[in-house]
Amino acid sequence: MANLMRIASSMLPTMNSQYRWLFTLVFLGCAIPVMQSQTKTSRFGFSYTLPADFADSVSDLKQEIQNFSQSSGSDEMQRSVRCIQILLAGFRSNPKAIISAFAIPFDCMGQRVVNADLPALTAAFINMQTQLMDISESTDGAYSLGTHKFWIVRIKGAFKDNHSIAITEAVTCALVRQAVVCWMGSAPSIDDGALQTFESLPVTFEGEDSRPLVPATAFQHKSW
Amino acid sequence: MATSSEDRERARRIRLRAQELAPSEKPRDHDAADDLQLLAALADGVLSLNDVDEETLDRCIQTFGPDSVVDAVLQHHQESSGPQASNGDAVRSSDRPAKRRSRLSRWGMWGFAWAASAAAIVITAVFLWPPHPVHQVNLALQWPSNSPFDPSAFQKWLSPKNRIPTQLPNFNRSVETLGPAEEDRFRPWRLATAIVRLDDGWGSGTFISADGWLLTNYHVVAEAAQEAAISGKPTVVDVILAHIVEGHPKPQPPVKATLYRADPVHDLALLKLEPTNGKPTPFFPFAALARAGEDCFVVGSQNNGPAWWVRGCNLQRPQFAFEYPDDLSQFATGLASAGDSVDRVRTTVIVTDARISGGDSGGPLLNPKGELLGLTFATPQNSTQGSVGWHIALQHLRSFTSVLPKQAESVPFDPWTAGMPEATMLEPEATDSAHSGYIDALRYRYVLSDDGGNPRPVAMTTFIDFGKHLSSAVQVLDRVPRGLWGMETRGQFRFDVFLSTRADGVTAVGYTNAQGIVDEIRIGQSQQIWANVVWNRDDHGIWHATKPTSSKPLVDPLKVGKNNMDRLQAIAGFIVSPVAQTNPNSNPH
Repeated sequence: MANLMRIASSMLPTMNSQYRWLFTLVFLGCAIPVMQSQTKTSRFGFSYTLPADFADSVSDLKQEIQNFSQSSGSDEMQRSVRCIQILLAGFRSNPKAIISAFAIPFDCMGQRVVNADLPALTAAFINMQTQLMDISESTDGAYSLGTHKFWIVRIKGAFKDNHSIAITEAVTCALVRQAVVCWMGSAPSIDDGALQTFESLPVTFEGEDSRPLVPATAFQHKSW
Repeated sequence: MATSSEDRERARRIRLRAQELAPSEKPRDHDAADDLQLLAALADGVLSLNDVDEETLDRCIQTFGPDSVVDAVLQHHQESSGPQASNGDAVRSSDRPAKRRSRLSRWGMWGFAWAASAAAIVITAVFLWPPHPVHQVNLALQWPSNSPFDPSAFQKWLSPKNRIPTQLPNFNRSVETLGPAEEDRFRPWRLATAIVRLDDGWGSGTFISADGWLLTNYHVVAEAAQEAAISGKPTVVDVILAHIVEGHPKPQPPVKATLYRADPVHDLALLKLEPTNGKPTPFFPFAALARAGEDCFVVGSQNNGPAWWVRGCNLQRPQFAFEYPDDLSQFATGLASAGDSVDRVRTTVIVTDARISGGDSGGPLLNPKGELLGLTFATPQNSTQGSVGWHIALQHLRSFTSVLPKQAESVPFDPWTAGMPEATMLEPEATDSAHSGYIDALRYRYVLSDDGGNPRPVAMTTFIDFGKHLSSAVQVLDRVPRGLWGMETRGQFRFDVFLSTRADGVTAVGYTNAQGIVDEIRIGQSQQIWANVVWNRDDHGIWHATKPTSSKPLVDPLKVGKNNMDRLQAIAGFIVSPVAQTNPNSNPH
């Protein structure tokens, strides 16, 4: 239906105005029931609105994380991976993009993280991503949403095994009471705009006002 | 407070430097892991700021931000100077003391980073990598719930070569083998001979250097090596050394040794004793030559016999060309598969009249000067000519140890024994499942005896050839090599994929390269799509095990070829089945 919407949108300007309103009405009449955004509320204290054209894929990922945990190096690593809780996963097939959120609870990891750890954690994250990707560009930044501090990193690169697939990936992490929570947007494109949807959608954090997940100035500061 | 003012000065210096660095200037490529370790070392007090060069400091400031470096530096000073030092405003924000109290250890940081990275890798891999084949099938291997074959319907093809004995030697009997303590001229030989102890038995070992390099037979450590191959971990065994108590050799507590190199073709294994107290081990130098008719000695620890037993012998044939597997099967099962189309000359052995038995395997064959002539490995099963001892010849020992490995060269899963060298292999079955006039599969079945002595099925391996290389009219069974060496020289049966499945739930799938040599083996569990361990063979023929960082299917359509997936299912349908799980190589939407 999302594809149909897109095709229809592209057709509209070429139609005669007398038919355009009719088509619009008929089309919207069909489309509206399935185009509603899906607001996901997490037990970790936030809600995020998954765009309408993203299909919920949490169950797929939970199984994959389980598989990954069984093959992730040392016992320490396996324990860490088993702590991951996929909170949100949305997949859009055209143009292809992923939006996801996951939590790493402190009680599972056996220790807490503080805001000052986020830059180093993100740096280690980028370092580990190099196992999968050849990173051509990475940029990071610090920003706040209400009382919550975020550290964001945006990576551009390509899969090591398949350089024909360019990837743009943004990960932004913050602390909530019980966990580190990270949002991730990823798209097979080197276009920054590919992540625009992910970054602009509103998030509500532990009772605070709803705001876009990533403000426009997110990469302008390196500290809070 | 002195510490507080020093802290302030350090923080000021770091922040000044951060301001001097141009914001757009990105640090040079560097392993961030190293820098994180450095920060952790600063926080732990292992390093001070003065130990860090400017370039590294700049990079850390740029990579992690000045706050992280300040925190790391101050954390140690705060902890080392006690709680009173942390109540000031040395650090810019008022909540800093609380932060410092909960700062992560270096390992904690990696745990969080690893978990976040793993999530990102899985999410990205599941949805975006690689271009998804349209007709992809997720296949899992399984051991059939009903008994998959009737052992009595197949002839025994190859029994385990040399089962190692299951009971340790009689350490008390060693007393009887010695004369008065001061007359034991063989004492140095006993001290240079070890007992290699496994979960299920033992063999002997021969020290060849003062720093703990120990030779033994591959068949002594084969089971342990194959168990390790399943998990991808190094093979570690126990080694028992002798020490002299009141003139008699007695066992010391076991020490650990790691398998560093294996050569199943020549039945050799090289172990390295883990460093103990740095004391040099007694060892045997190599002899220059083995001569027919010369006196010789063997040292070993027999099944229920004396430990570190020295026996005299006569060297009868120094250069006997021993052919695998025909001569091996002669003492193993009495079955021989004659086939002149396969080069099976593998090993030169020394033949002696030594009386050897289980437990002697891996022990030294020595000349009267105590120089190493060979390594005991076997004796004919049905010899009619009195005692006969077979020993791996000197040239193989030299070649095997000429360049010592710097790190352990692991042994991969052996498809020809299904990773169970202790099992008996039944006669292989060649099939033309497509009725095309070509053999497309060769299937081996393996059995172990239960408590009642009855064979029970334990494993199957199917080698699949998609390439129609061998006509069904040809005597296939004579062209199939056996054992691990089959991965290097495969006779004339070409195959593309092998599938192993075992009653204990282990599954393995291997793939050949363009030269037809197995170069990748993926290990998993029954009814599981994904590999837990992946073995890869490098350009030097050395195998390396890794835990895959992204999901790798056991039966990989990218390796099998999507056009062959249906054929694979047709050939091995009773051990493979489609499984409804998301495949990272496919688009689930």
